[in-house]
Amino acid sequence: MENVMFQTNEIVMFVISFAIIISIILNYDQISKLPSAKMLLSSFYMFSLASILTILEDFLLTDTLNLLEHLSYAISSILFAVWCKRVFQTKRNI
Amino acid sequence: MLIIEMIDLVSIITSAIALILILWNFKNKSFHDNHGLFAIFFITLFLIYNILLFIEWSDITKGLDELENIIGALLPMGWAILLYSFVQSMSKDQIKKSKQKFSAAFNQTLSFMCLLDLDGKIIEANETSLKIINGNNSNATGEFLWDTKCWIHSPELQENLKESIRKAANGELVRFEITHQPDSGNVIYIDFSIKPVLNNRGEINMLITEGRDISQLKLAIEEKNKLDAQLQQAHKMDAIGNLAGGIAHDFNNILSGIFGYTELAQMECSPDSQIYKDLNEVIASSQRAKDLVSQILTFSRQSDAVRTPVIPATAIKESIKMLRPIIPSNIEIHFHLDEINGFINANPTQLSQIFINLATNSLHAIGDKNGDLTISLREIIFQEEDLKDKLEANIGHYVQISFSDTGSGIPKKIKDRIFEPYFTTKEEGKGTGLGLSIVHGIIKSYGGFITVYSEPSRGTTINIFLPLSSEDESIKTTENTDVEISADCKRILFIDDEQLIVDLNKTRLERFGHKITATTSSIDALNIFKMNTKQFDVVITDQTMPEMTGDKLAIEILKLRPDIPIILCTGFSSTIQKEKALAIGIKEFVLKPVSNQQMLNLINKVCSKI
Repeated sequence: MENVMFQTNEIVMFVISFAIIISIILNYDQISKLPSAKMLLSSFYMFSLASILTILEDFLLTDTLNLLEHLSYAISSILFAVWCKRVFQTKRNI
Repeated sequence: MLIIEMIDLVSIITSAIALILILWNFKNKSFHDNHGLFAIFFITLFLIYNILLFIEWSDITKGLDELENIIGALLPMGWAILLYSFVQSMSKDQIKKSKQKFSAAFNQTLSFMCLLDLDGKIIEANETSLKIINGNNSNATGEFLWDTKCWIHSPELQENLKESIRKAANGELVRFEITHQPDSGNVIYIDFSIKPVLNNRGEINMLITEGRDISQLKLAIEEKNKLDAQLQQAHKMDAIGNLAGGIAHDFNNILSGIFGYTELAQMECSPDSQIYKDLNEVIASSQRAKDLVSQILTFSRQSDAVRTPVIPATAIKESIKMLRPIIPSNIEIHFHLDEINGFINANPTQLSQIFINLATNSLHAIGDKNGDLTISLREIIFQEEDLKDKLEANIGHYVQISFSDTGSGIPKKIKDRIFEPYFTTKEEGKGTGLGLSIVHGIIKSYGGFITVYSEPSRGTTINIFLPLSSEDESIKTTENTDVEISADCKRILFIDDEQLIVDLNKTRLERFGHKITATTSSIDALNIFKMNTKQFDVVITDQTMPEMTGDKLAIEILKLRPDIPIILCTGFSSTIQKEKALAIGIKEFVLKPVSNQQMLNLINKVCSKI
C-alpha cells in the first residue's frame, strides 16, 4: 500500500460525491425548492471540490492543492453555517 | 500559525456554529421526523473531520489518521442522507399543504360535494353535503349515496340517481334538479351534477357529485315571471286604453252629427207631433251612446273629471245607502271603517261609481245564498319596498278600502282578465263588462292601485288603495253654469276637419242669428283670421286636425289678438287636457258631441267674460 499514491477513503469520498452530484442534477427541480437551496448546494460542491483536490494533491502541486483543499472545506463549512442561520431565521421546519 | 491551520480553525469554528444552530433548533422542534438527528450526525462528523484535519497538520498526532479516513468516507454519505431527508421533508410539507388547500376548498364551499366510487358508495363527503346527507356532520363514508337521508324520501329520485351514477361511471356528465325537505325549513331546490374523475392513465376511477342550492334563484325567477306578467298586463290595459281613446274620438264626431241634426230637425216640427217625439228617442239613444263613450274614456283614464277633497268613510256610506233598496235580505253588510285624518282627491260621482260597482259585483257573487259583504277602511303607509311591483304608485299615506264577500270567488284562469273592458262572467243582459275596467281606470287616474284576492267558493276581497292627502289639493275648475241664450249676433270663425260637423254647426249657429265663417282647414282659418283680426268675436276650433292642431292654431290666433275668446271642441285627444288648454289662453274646453243649448251657452259665456 505504500506505493499507492492515494488512499482508498479519498476514492470513496470522490465516488460518493460524484454520485450525489449526478443525483442532484437529475433531481434538481425538487432540490431547488429547498430553502436557500443554492447556498446548501454550494456548500456541498465545495466539499466535493475538496475531495477532488485531496486526490489531485497526491499527483501534483501538493502544497498548493492541499491549501486549496483545506480552503474548500473551510468555505463549505462557512456556507453550511450560513445556510443553517438563514433557514432557522425563517422559522421554517425542515 | 500556518495558513492551513488558520483555515482549519475557521472550518472548526463555522461547523461548530452550524452544530449549535442545529442543536438549538432541534430543541425547538424545528425538524420533521428524524431529519434533525441526521443533521446533527452530519455536522458532528464534519466538525470532527475539520478538527482531525487541524490536528493532523499540526503534527499533534499521527495516530488519528485511520479515524480521519473513516470519517472522510462517511462525510459524503452524510451529505447524501442530509439532502435526501431534506427533500423528503419538503415533499411531505408540500403534500400536507396541498391536502390543506384541498380540504379547505372541499369543505368550505357552499356546494354539496361527494367523491363516490364507481358503484355509488361515498368515499368522502364535504361538510356542506354531510349536513343534508345525515342532517349532521357525522361520517357517511361507505354508504351508497342513494341510501342517505337526502334521497330516501323519494324512490323515484333514488332510481334516477342510480341511473345517473351508472351513466357517469360510463363517462357521461349528468345534471338534473332535485328537491330536498330539511328537518326544519322550506323545501330546497338543488342543481345536482355527477362527473367522472379520470386517473393518470385516463381511466375513470371515481365520481364527483356537486349540488348547488338554487332555491333563491328559483324564487327570483318566480318573482321575475310574476313581474313580467304584471308588466304585460299593464301594457295590455294601456293598449286597450289607447284603442278606446281612439274609438271615442271618432265616435264622438259621429254622435255630434246625429245630435246636432236631430236637434235641428226638432226645431222644424211641433213639440206635439209624433216626429218630435221620435226625434227625442234619437236624442235619448245618442245620449246613451255619449255616456258609453264617456265610460270608455274613464276606463282609458283620459276623461276629465273634476276632483274635490272627499272624506272616504262618508263617500262609502252614501254609496251603500243608494244600494240599500236592492240589497237582498240574505246578504248582510258589515262596516269596519277606521277614522281617517285626511281626504282623498277624487270626483265624488266616480268614487260612488267605484263603490257601487264593487258592491254590486259582490252581491252577484253571493247570489241567492246567505252571505256577508264586509266593507273596511283603514289608513296604510307604503314604503318603497312595499310598492316594488307597483311601478306607477308613489310611497306615502294611502287609504285601503276593501270589499270582501263570501261569494263564489273568481276562478284563477280569469283573474287576470277581470279588468279588461267587456269581459264579464254574468249572463247576457245582466252586465256590460265595463264595471271593473272603469273602476281600474278611475283608480289609476287617482294615482292608486287595486289588488284582488280570491279563493273559488270561499269569496273575494278587492282592495283599493288611494293616495291620502292631508290638505285640500283638489284641482279647481271653473264652474259650469248655464247662461241664458243671448240674441246678440256674434261673428264666429268655426274650424273642424270633418265636413259634417262644419255643415251642422254653420246651419245651427246661423239659425240662432250668428254669422259663421266655417272651414275644414286650420291653415285656411289662420289666413282668414290674419286678413282682419277684428272681424270675429269668437273662434270655435276642433283639436285633432291634420295640418295644425287646435291648440297650436289657438296659440297663433292669440298672438295676433290676445283678447279673442276661443272654444276648443274635441271628440277626444290624448295630446291636450282641459288644464293645458286653459293655460294657453283658450277660454273653454268642451267634449263632443255638443248640443245646441250647450254650444249657445258656451258662446255667450266666453263673450260675457271679455
